[in-house]
Amino acid sequence: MTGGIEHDQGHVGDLIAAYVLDALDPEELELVERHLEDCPQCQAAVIEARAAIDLMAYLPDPQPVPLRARHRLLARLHADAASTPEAAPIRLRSRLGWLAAAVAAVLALAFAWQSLQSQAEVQEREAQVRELEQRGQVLTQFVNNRPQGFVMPIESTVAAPGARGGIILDPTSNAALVMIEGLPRLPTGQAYVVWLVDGDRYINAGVLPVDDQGRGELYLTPQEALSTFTGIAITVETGALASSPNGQPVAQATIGR
Amino acid sequence: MEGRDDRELLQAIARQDADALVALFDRYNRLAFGLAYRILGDAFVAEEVVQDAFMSIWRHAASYDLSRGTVRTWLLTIVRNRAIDQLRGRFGRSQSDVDLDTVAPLLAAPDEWDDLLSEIQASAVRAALRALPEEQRIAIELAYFEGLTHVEIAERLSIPLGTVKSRLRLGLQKLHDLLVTPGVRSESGASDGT
Repeated sequence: MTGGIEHDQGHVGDLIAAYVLDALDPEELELVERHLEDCPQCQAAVIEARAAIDLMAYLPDPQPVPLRARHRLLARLHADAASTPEAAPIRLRSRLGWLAAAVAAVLALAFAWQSLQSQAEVQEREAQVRELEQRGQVLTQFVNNRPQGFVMPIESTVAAPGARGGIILDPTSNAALVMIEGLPRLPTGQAYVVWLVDGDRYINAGVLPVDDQGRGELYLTPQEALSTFTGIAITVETGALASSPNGQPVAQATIGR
Repeated sequence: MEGRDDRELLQAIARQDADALVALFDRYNRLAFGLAYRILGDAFVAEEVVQDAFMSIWRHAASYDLSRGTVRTWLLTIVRNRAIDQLRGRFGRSQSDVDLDTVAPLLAAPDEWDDLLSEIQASAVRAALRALPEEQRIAIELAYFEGLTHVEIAERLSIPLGTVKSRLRLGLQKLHDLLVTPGVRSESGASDGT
């Protein structure tokens, strides 16, 4: 290791260990990065130090990951694919794709909502998993009979940057399911309200119930045809019965074709 | 799928092949989760960090230059950085951490990580850390697993900043001499195809 390079010789050898450990203060970080631009000797020392630091990642024992993690990753991959510009034409490429995305999303969110804190709950969860698998089959059948269905990603605003989710729409039965996670916890007296949007017109579609993990879902069966709306919006309101949105918008989705 | 090495998987991920990302997940989720949990001590947050890390690879695979390091090293670096970000951002949060032992290992996802290689590297790292003077080991662990700056390490240990710098430098130098020089390199992964 090129540890002999010393700071007082114009090099930054005494800071390189802290540099690769991200342990420098901003001023020193800037000093080191500026120096590294023109010093092959210190660049080589950084590479050597990093090789040692990279191995620290192997110190902890590998740990088993809950099975839901794999389901959730699949759901996120589908959601990500749905939100790319290529997939922007609302309908997913194939009905099969939509089926997989919808079932995976519902199952993943449902799995994620399970909270395990005791052995008794492990057993309860296993029963819930079986129930959810059945629910997935039911959903598959539900979706299979509705070839007009489609999924749209929900986009968050700066007020809730961690929020993500989607809305499954079935124009045939005029029903939709909003699923979202990553919503900040609200103070008492405030609620998330879902709005159906048609230009400047906002229809209160109901309060989105959100659990303490920031996840919520709302089944919509509006009186008016879904096809008359261009999108949905989710805002924070102080009154659940508000007739128009007054609070901070946290997420939105386009649903019009 | 299992036959593809990490480099081939990354190339497929760059083409947005979801199966390839899932294969990479199956290969390294336990390793990544172990690291995130060691840093965070919270199984749920650790799971989020690992998810985000794999999604980051999904989104940036096309622009990753393999000459900068192996896929595995890249993944673990992302996991470590995100876990530290989480850790540093949640100081003072109310105690709602979930102990890993209470999270169903019965429902563990499959993991095709090469246990033997992992064990060799982990035991080599542990042996090297044990060989370090304790004060050097503590300084490195505080920086790596807790994300402390060297000023914060000095405050935590009530020692001069210069002492922290030299402990980090000497500790890292010794780690390098013990681990990297003999050839137990992170780039030696059998699955990496390098």
